[in-house]
Amino acid sequence: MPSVCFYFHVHQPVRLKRFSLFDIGREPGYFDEKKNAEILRKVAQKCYYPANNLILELIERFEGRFKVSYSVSGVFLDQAMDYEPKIIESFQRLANTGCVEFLSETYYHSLASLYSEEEFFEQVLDHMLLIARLFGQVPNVFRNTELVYFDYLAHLIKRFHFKAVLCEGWDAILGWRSPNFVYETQGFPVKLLLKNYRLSDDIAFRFSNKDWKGWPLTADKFANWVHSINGSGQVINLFMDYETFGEHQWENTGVFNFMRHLPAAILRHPDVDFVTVSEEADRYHPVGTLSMPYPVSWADTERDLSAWLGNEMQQATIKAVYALEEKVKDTRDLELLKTWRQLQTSDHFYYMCTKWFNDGDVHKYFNAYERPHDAYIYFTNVLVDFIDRVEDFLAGMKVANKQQEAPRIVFEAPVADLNIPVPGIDLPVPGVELPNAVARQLGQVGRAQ
Amino acid sequence: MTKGLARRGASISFVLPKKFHDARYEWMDVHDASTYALAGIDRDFQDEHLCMEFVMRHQCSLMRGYAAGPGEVVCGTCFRGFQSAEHMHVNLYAKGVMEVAKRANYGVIHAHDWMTFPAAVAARKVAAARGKKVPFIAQIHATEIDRHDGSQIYDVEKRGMLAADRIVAVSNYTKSIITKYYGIDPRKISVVHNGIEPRSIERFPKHPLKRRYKLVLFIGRITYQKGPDYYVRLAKKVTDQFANVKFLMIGSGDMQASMVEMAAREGLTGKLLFSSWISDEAMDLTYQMADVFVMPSVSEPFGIVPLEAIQNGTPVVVSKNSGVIEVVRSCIAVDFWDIDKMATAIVTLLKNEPYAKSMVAKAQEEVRGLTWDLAAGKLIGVYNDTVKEAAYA
Repeated sequence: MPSVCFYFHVHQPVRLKRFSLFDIGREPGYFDEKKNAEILRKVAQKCYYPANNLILELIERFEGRFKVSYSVSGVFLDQAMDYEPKIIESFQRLANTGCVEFLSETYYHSLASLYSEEEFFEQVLDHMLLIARLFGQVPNVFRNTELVYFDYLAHLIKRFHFKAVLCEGWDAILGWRSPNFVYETQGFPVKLLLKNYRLSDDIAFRFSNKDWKGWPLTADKFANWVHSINGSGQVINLFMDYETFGEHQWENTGVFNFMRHLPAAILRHPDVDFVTVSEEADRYHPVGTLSMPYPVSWADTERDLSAWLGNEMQQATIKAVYALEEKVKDTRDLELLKTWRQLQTSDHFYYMCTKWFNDGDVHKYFNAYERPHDAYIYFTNVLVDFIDRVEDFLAGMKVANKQQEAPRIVFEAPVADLNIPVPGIDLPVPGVELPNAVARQLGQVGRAQ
Repeated sequence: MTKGLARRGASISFVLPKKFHDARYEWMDVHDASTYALAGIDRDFQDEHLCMEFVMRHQCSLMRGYAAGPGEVVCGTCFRGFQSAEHMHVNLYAKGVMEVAKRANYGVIHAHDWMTFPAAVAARKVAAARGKKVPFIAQIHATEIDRHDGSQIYDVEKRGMLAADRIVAVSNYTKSIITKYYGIDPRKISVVHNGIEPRSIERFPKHPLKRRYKLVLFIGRITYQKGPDYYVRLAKKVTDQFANVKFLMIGSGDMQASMVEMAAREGLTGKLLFSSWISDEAMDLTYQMADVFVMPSVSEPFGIVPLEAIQNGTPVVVSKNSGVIEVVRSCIAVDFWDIDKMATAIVTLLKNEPYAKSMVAKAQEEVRGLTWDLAAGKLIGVYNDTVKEAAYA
């Protein structure tokens, strides 16, 4: 009776250069393209290609009985298109099997849901359009950056008519309740799919840990744990970073072999099947309501926002970024807008994290700089440069406005040239007033249909 | 300084703890203490010499100006040779200097700061063994009172000062510290201010930041002694009133991380900018970027950076607790703790350009006269007097 839902998160940040204060006004780009390309290609060899091939192999072998879901960030897809387009093709092959579902998220892997409703909305929409364009499907289920969920988020995503939203099955919220059921959000009803973090982390974090009593983890052993839930749950949500395969757990740990044998071991029990996130939401009725007034994430032992917003450096910089929203949007310049959005990527703030306790190792591993303070210093320098560019642009607009009677500054929507075969895109509730930029984008999508 | 001394006929044996570069010094003999220290120790044993390994890896603690942590440098070889060792490197250096002294003929021993004092005492003993009375002159560039490192270095300093035949302080300010906190008779202390070589300075194009902003500059180690926290408070005070002023804090040190956090906490993100490091070539460019240079040191025996700023045409605001104000009058001297006054001084200099320009022009005139040659002349005088005193004693 219970289903198993595999969901993988795929993301790579655009890392900043070591942007010195002397570079302000001189250095044209902010992002370390060489390093970003290098990392993407490295991880592609270690993880994306072999893991995609494996998933494809499994889907073909089980003829539709093995299914997975992915959320792939827009910043990842952008980089893949720039540096390693074969990754996109590889995901497209997966999409074509019909056994792979893509989720919705913020394009820039940002924390916009906490800072700007308008910005959040635009990023989710941008991401949907990109997924539709690349993979020919319109996402039905939402996952917020780092699985951040709070009650108000259900309201924020209401206009997209999602079937479900993902979040962490955290004990402090669940109490006596089990993560192995579908719940409903508070206030604005959407189904909540909860990560079973114990079983997920057995693969994602503990797989190669020889001190763990579960080691060595075999497909049969894991399948047994899954089967033992039979009767006391609807679904087991195994949510993890895609890099679990080949990057966090290296190939020589046997993680690919484990995965290769897992579906057969799980399907050995006749009552168990695999579902995608939408199927899970369609099939199961919520057993109750869960309320999370404060944001809950999937990170660290706190499961809160402290990895991104825990100290004054993080808070000061993220506030400074969102304080620019109005000015950046006033420029109506797509390049400035894109850069500003790239600066919102949560990883920039993660690098400034100073929690070096239990999670210190993880943080250090993922840090692009020697010290969190360096991350702050470079980010701040970039911000100063960026503010100058925005101000210059606005000053230029004023001059242009004075010189010409009717200024001709046309907002070119990024999707203007797209020819998306969007099957019945289910878009905002009529009557909801949209930000202008978005409304225009929608208009163009409409025409493309 | 050594060049100036050589020009005046002094012959110099200069003992470095470790020679790292193949720089050429035609005007003096340069010795590497570490090679002498290892003389007589056979090769196999040298490999076990952890001190040397440490010197190679981390640069000698002598060169960094810090005592290395305990345990880190304990070396069996040194330890057996110097039972009473407090700081292995100081002793290693002393041993090297003794070897040099045995081979050299010298009339004055000039030692700089605490790490070299034991060596100077040793060299004096070597001379005494030959029946020659050679005075030991201790030059004080900085004391534990300035640094507040909180170690037992104070004792080494005081013993050195007491043992010395004469003390040379880099300023009257430092002389007063030596008198006040080390109990040394002021008559035993001569003051020779540091110099700065006049040089032609390349002018760099205006930095793009200057289009919109006035810039205030701090360069130095970010440690207690340099008063970085006062600088952050100053940045807060000024930028709260004037949005078009940015503060730069350049350097690294044990307080940098907390200063970065303090800046974020005080809402100075994007207003106070940091850079942990700049190349020597970028120094002039950096001074020229600034509209005002600030040195808010809690205690600064001399302070050569403000002179470099002045050479680059940047007006300076400096702490009253510094030696540099004794030689440059055309600057604004303020108590390091008086944030209000410092802020007023900076704003005045930023707003009143003619005033700032005339001040720095006068300062440049003063700095031109502060050559190392002048300092060397004074020092030769001190040498002669001390040798005479020693002869009568």
